[in-house]
Amino acid sequence: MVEEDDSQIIKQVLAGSESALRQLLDQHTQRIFSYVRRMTSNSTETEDIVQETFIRFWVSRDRFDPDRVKLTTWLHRIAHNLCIDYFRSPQQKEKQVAVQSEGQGGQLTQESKEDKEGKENPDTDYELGIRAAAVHKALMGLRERQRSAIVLCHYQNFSQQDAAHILDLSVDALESLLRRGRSKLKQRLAEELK
Amino acid sequence: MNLERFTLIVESYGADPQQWPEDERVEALAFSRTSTEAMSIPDQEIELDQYLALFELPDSKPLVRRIVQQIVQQIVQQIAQQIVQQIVPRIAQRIAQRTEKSILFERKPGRMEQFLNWVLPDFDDLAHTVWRPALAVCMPLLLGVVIGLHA
Repeated sequence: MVEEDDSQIIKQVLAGSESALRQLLDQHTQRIFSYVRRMTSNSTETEDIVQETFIRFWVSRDRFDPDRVKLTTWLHRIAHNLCIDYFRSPQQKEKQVAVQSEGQGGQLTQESKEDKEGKENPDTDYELGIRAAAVHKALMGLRERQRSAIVLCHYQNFSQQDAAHILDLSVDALESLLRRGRSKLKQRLAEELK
Repeated sequence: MNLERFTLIVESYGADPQQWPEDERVEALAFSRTSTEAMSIPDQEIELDQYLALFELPDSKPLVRRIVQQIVQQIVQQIAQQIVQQIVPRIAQRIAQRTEKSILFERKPGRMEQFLNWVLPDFDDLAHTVWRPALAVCMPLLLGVVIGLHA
């Protein structure tokens, strides 16, 4: 299970080495950040969840068994559970209802639009910005588990076994989530981009 | 591999064979070339894959670097707290043990104190601090009285 590059560093981290921890953070933080950012699309919450992911890993590092699960899978599982906690918080539930009913894209959409501005072909970029915003909105409108399944398999490039492990599901259940999630995305994008 | 399984794979993972389950990829690719029906299934998912590719994240390297710094700081603080929580009680325990030892073994009573202990046993602190010095002061007076009575 354990990858070649990771094995030595993991041993050192489990033994309590600070330099090994720093190396581990350099290797894995960007990927965890991308996952959480796509799940929450809120930079402040993303920052907190990513930090908490690694703190929890450090505190409960004795529970991590490198022979049973990959480090990146383990970290994503912690991050996923923290994202679920975040979505279940009362304030977030209110926000979700507001976003779904009002059809607002959120902060990331705005950033994507701003990123696209000032490039060579403004018409094409504007068009792309509209589509990117629609994709973002459609993704954020999915149920957390469907969104998580799509983000893990499509953007984070996890195998179906690892993605299923992160979500604590069977592979069949994961495929069912993916299928329903993609189907809903198609419907919503068709409505958005009529 | 059959049409039902192939459809499920494509509808779940998209049109890109690289996203398909590794253990079924070769078989599924071979199956996709067997009939026009199978060939047309990935076409229905290509558009969604293209849309999903548009969902890019803004450059986050500086933010990620900052997060790494914050995590290291928090963990170093935790380690320091753990050390303090583990070591301070041990030091306090050792100091207490030494103090106890010095009280038990290092203090030697003087002759006068031994005499006073014999005359007036150490039954509480008040006797130790007030009555014993008072008795010692009275000793010459008692001695004078005894000598006067015998003279």
